[in-house]
Amino acid sequence: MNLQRIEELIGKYERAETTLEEENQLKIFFRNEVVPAHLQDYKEIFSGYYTLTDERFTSNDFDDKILSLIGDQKIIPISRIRKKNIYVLTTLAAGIIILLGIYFRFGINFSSISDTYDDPQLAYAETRKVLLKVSATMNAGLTELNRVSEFNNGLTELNNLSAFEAGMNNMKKISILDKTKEILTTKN
Amino acid sequence: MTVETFKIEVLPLKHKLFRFAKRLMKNMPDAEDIVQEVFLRLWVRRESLAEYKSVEAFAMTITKNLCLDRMKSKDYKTEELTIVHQQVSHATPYKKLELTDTYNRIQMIMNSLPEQQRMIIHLRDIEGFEFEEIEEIMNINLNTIRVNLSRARKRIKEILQNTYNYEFAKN
Repeated sequence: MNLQRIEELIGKYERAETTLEEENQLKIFFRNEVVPAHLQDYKEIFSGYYTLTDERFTSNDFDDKILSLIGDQKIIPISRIRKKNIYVLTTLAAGIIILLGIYFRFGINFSSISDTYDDPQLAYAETRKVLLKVSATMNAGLTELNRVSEFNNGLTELNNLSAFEAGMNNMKKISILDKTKEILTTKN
Repeated sequence: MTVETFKIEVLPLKHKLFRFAKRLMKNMPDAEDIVQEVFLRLWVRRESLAEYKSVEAFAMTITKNLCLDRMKSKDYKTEELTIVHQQVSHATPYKKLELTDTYNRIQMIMNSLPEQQRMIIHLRDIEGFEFEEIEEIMNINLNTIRVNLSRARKRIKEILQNTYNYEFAKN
C-alpha cells in the first residue's frame, strides 16, 4: 500500500471517519512495515494497541470459580424472586379460600334458576296464571286492610285527652297552697 | 440455558470483559471482581439472554455500569499506582522488553484520557466494535461517539509526542 493512501487513511482515522476495514488496513500496515520517521508515532500507537488486544484474563481457576458460584447461585437469586411471589400467592390463596367458603356456606343462594318449560308460550301462560292468582289473593287481603281505617276513629277519641291536660294545669295552682303552708311553718 | 451452554457461549467473553473492566478500573483486582459479578448477573438473567441482539454487547454494558457504579461508591479508592509494577510482572515473559515498554506506555497514555474517551477508544481501536455496537454499549449517539473518538485519537498522539520530547530533553 502506498504512503499517500496511508496518509489519507490516517487523516480519516483522526477524524473518526474510517471504517473497521480501513482501520484494519492501518493496523496491518503499521505492524508489519518499516515506516518513515514522521509516521513513527502511529507505529508506536498501533503496536501498543496490538499488545493490549492480546491481553488475557490471567487467573486460571476463574472458570471453575464462576461455575461453582453459579451452582450455588442457582438457588439464591431465584429464591429471592420467589419470596416476593410467595406473598402474592398467599394473598391470592387466602382470597380464593374465603370466596370458596362463602360459596359453600351460602351456596344455595347463588344457585341459578333453571328453566322448567321447553315451550316459551306455555311458560308465559303459566306465569300469567300464577301472577293472576297472586293478584287475586292480594286484593282479598287488601279488603281486610280497610279495617285499619277504624283505628283512625279511635285516634280522634284520644283527642279528648288534651282536656285532661288542661285540668292538670289547673291542679298546679294547688302547689301554691303548699308553698304558703311552708312559709307559715317556718315563721312559727 | 444450562451450565454447559453458559460455559460454552458466555464464559469465553471473559477476556474481552476483563480488558474493558481493566481499562475502566485501571487495575487488575477490581477488574477481576467486576467480571465475576458480570457473569453472575448474566447467569441470573440467562433465560432472557436470547432476547438481546448481542449477548456480547449486553455483557459489555453490564461491565461498564458495574465499573462506573464501583468508582462512584464512597469507599472506592484507586489502586492505580501499585498496579504499574503488577502489569510489568504480569506481561508475558516471551515478549521482548521493547514490547513490554510499548504495552506500559500505551496503557498509561490511555489511562490519562477522560473516562468516556477511554471507553470509546478501547471499544473501537482495541476491541474493534462497530459504531452501532458502541452506541448500544455506551448508550450515546453516533455523533457523540465520533467526536469523542476523534478527540481521543488526536490526544493519544499528542501525549505520545510529548513523552518522547520529554525523554529526549532528559537525555
